[in-house]
Amino acid sequence: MELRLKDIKKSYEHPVLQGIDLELSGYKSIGIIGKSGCGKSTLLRLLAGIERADTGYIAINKRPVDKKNLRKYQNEIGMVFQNHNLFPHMSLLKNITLILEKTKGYEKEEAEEIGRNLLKQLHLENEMHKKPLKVSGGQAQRAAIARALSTNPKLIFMDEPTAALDPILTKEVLKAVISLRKSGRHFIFVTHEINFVKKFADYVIFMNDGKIHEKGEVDILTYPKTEELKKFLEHEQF
Amino acid sequence: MTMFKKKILPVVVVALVYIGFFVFIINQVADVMDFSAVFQYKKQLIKAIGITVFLSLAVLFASMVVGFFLFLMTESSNVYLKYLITVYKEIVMGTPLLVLVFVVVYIIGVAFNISNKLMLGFISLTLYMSPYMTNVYEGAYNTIDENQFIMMDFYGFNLYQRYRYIILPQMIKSVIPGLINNLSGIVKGTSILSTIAVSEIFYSISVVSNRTYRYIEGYFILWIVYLIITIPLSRLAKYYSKKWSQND
Repeated sequence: MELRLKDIKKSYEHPVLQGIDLELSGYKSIGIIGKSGCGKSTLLRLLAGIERADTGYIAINKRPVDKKNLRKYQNEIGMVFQNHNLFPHMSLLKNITLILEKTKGYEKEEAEEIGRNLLKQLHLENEMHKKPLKVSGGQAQRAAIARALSTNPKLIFMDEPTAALDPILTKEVLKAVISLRKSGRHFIFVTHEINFVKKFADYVIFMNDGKIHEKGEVDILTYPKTEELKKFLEHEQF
Repeated sequence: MTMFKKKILPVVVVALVYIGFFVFIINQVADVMDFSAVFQYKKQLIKAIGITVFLSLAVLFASMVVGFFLFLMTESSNVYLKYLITVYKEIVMGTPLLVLVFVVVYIIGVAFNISNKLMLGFISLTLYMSPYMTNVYEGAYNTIDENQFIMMDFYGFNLYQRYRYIILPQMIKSVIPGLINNLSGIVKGTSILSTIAVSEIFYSISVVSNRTYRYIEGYFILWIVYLIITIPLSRLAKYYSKKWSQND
């Protein structure tokens, strides 16, 4: 994928992103890491078009992510959130088919087939008729991944997909995500799971205080250049 | 045994306390109480109960609809609509029902040339209850997690689809107990319409009491009739709140 960010700034009550510049191309899976509150989730939400930057310019695969192109852009990407964000009043399957039928124009049978296949692929064949609150956090998160895949996106964003899960469920979800790499899709994700980043990413962005502090191919996690990244990695491992 | 001690025993004891209290009161006034005169007007009273129930249901339905439109306007991004509804809510909620009834009869009724008392009563109660209905909808709407709205935006659901498939089905759960409580409020509110001579149960009992001079008996019957209607409603509301909170 190709990524171009120019002077991205974003503030809420206080500045969160303080001028992000980045030009990248040729990577398939980009991991964004950093301490809590460093702005990594905000950056991901800006890239996915969920929020808008105060200033600056974002283009992904040569297409600007702006108000004009947003609907078309979001039709072509997938998103997995920290909390599964499934609609709680409908089954896992319905969570997928509703989107396909109502917003993507699929026929009912077609949508059901896609939903069933994806849920099977993520080992949820026995849970597909259950509501999100009746399944485990890991199962719900896998269903959210299935939902993100349902529109057949080329690029998938993941915002700390395992942050709300215990270690066993985290493993379960990460295993499912790793199995998706073969599908040829591209990923941009935020996580605290350094070992997952090592396995899954081919490029890493380390953020600190609202800025990109260090970036590079995945071996920066083994040979960090800056003190901050070193400290962060030591802290994350203990 | 524990079930008996925890649940059944307290219910039985409380029921006995209330029954004992009523028996004592009735016993004290038994010499002066005589329902036979009031019961001569049985037909009239049953018809009045019918009017009370019919009027309450009609107001419930109308205020649900009006309240829903007010709710949609408060959720709208149009600030003019928002302010318009906020002011309406403040005015109505700050006005006692009795005063609103007079405003409707002597101002709105005259302005729009409506003289049917039942219709004026219906309009007053509907105007009065609609903001309370709006509050019920707002409360239910606020229980929907913010992240769900992000998902709706992300997948590009239009306004109709949002309400039809995602928001309303989730709101119904939390709305029903509130609606039933409001129905109970409406039933009690109909008594105020006696002031404009709508022949609901309060008015009819007053008329019968005036004719028979049996005021205590009349008000006693009135009290029991209201309790017979409102207590099951409030129990029903509690039942639904409990049932649905367990389902979650």
